[in-house]
Amino acid sequence: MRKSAYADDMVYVEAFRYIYRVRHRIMEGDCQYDHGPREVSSPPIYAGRYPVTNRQFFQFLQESGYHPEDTTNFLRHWEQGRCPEELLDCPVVWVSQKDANAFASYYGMRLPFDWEWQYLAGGPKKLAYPWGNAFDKTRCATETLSPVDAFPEGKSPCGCLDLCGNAWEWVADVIDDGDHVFTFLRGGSWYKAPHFWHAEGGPHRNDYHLKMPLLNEGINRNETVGFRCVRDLV
Amino acid sequence: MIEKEGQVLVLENRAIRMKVRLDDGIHCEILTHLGQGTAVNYGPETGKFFRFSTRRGEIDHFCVERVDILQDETEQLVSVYASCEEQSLHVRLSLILGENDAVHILLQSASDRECPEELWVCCPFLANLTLPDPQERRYYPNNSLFRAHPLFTFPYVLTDHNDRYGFSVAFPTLSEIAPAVQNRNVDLKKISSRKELENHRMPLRLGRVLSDTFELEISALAEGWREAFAQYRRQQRSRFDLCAYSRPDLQWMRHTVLHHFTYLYSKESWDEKNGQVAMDKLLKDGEAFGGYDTLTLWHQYPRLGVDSRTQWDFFDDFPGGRDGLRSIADAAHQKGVKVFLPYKPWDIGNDQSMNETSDQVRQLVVDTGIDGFFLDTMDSVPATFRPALDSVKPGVVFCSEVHPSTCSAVEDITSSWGKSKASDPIERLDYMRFLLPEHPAPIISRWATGEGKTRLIERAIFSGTGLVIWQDVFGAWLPYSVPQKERIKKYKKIWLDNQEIFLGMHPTPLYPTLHTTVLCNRFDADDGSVSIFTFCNTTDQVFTGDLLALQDIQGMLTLLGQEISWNGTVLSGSVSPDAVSMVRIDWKNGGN
Repeated sequence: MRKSAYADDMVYVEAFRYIYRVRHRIMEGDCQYDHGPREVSSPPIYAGRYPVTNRQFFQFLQESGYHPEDTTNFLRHWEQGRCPEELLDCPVVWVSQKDANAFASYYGMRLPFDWEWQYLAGGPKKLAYPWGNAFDKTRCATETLSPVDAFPEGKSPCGCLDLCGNAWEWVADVIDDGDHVFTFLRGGSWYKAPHFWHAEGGPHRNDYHLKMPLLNEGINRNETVGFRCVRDLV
Repeated sequence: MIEKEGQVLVLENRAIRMKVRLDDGIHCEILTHLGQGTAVNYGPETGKFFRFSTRRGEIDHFCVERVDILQDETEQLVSVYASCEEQSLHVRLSLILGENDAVHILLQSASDRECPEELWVCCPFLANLTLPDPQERRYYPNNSLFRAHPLFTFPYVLTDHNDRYGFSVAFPTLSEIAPAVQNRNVDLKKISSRKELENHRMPLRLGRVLSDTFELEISALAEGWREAFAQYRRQQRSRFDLCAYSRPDLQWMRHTVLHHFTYLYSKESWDEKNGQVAMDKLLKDGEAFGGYDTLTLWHQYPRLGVDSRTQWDFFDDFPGGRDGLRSIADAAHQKGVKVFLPYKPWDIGNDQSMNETSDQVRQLVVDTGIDGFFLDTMDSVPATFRPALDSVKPGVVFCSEVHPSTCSAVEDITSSWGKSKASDPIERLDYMRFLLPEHPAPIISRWATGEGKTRLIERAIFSGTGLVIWQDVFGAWLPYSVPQKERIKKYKKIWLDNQEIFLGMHPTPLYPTLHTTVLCNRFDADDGSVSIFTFCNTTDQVFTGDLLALQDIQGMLTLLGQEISWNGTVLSGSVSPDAVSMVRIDWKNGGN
């Protein structure tokens, strides 16, 4: 199996079972998905302690030669194929869910499912935020994109960091309800768009997801969306 | 003519004579419809022009102090000055005969008190205005059949049972927000029933200077509601410069019927496998409706806001960028379909000037060759948009999600959606459709399902408007059924075959019928030779019986519903409770 520096820094998460439920604001339209309450369970897994960084994604490109078919907005913040030095340890953004899957599968990992991500963030007590039940903006990035380890006080019960704010995270789910294809984003981001009709930015609770309708890769890639990986034991 | 003899005033123009007494309160004694010779008789209480009250009771001790009769080149005026010393109240009642045949009744009032107590006023003269016809018909200013619009309120109209002679009372005011202004016409315009009319009582906020309290403009009618509505339409239209509606390059929009809202995250329009808009499939599906005339391509909302990209960036990031959008527009144009792109007024950031925004709008037309901008929730448009667009392409139309709400916006935005609620009945009407027929107002009720969609279709048919076909509402798939599509297809063909009638400039809503449970709209070709009547049965039982009294019919054709017949004086037939009937009438000698 190919080895990534990312895989060296994963936390072990014991088998878990919990009653999953998502509550989120839907502006208009539907989110055709069973938001619970329903029981979900998982065998033990390894979870990325942090989101994947630009430095790690660069390594991936070097090792895999990955080149997406549609490069629109792919790593748009990089310059001439290199990430600016000051962003190397920030979450990689301007990557689509497909790009994220390519990274994960190349190293024998995958993206967490929506319900797995929620457990990584909230733990068995189902905390509202990774660190507890009250929002505390000193524990997450709310002003600008930050290095993934900038907020050690934001650690979740499972030992994962940088789950809340900073950059949204892709999950593995791809929902095809027959009429649309969509996925979810988790955790919120540092960025808050100004208007009521904009998607709700900023950090979010652990039990919140944002419905993300999928279109072409140029639209799907965002300056505020990164990802983390998990690895199954078997 | 205004004459005063003792305590009696007589005002008379070509249509109305009013006898007013200044003793025993200031009241109208007789209001005469000169054309008909019919008189409305009042008593000293019922004919009072005003009655003030406080929480402690009525204020009834006004003394007339002065009466002035004046005249200039356009008006004759009598002003009655009166006071109530006990309450430190002063009024000036002005009765005005102008160049039209209306009588204006203007009450102005003031209070000398530093802190006046709570005060109300009502107009018994208005509340008791009734015709000597037990079957008189009444049309209230706040007509619940019409969807509210801030620019438009109908006059109060009452006619005889044949809907011929009667009176129209308008409540002229440019103010809209109560209780922010002293003029209480804002309250009179809200009257929606006989009970409200008879019990109206308006709160006052008086100052030391005489200010407008209420104003009535009374006209005599010889042709009932039709005349009152036509007169109202003339008055309303005179407020606007409608030259944009005459522009040849913008006329194409008037000839459209079906407008597809194309939510691109839907498989209805998106080919996920090939990552492109499924234009052929979309237009093919549209044939079941009779064919889409326009597409509004929509892919920003609800995605905007996840990052800082703007609506303009989203056009760049579309498959193939702006060239890709041009290809889509070209493909649509080849099928005779026009393309709108949206403009989101809420996504211009905090640092974008209107000039910059106009540049973006202009550039988007240059880049994509689209035919119109869908203005989203804007009820007005920046003045810089139109010249910006005209500088690069003729014929770019504005269409807004809501009706323009100011006079200048009506002049600039030449089409807008006729939004309605899913629960609205078939008979719900839209002011714009009948006051500005040149302003296409396709009907939409985005959340309607099942029978709600059926009512939506029938509402469009009843009003002779287009429809917005919106099946994927931001991820909620709300399709039309096969029978609904067939109904739309049939209606579209009728509409196109009879465009000269539906596009006529003098449609009449609520054309008087012979039965109160059946409502009718009338559409006339501008040369008067042919008309269409639509019928809506407001009950849940099939109606069978007489519909309209009509003469001089040359020929007729039932376009929708069961066969409608004519016996030489009366149109009769059956009207289903859930489907509109429609008949086309050719008039004898080319016009009625």
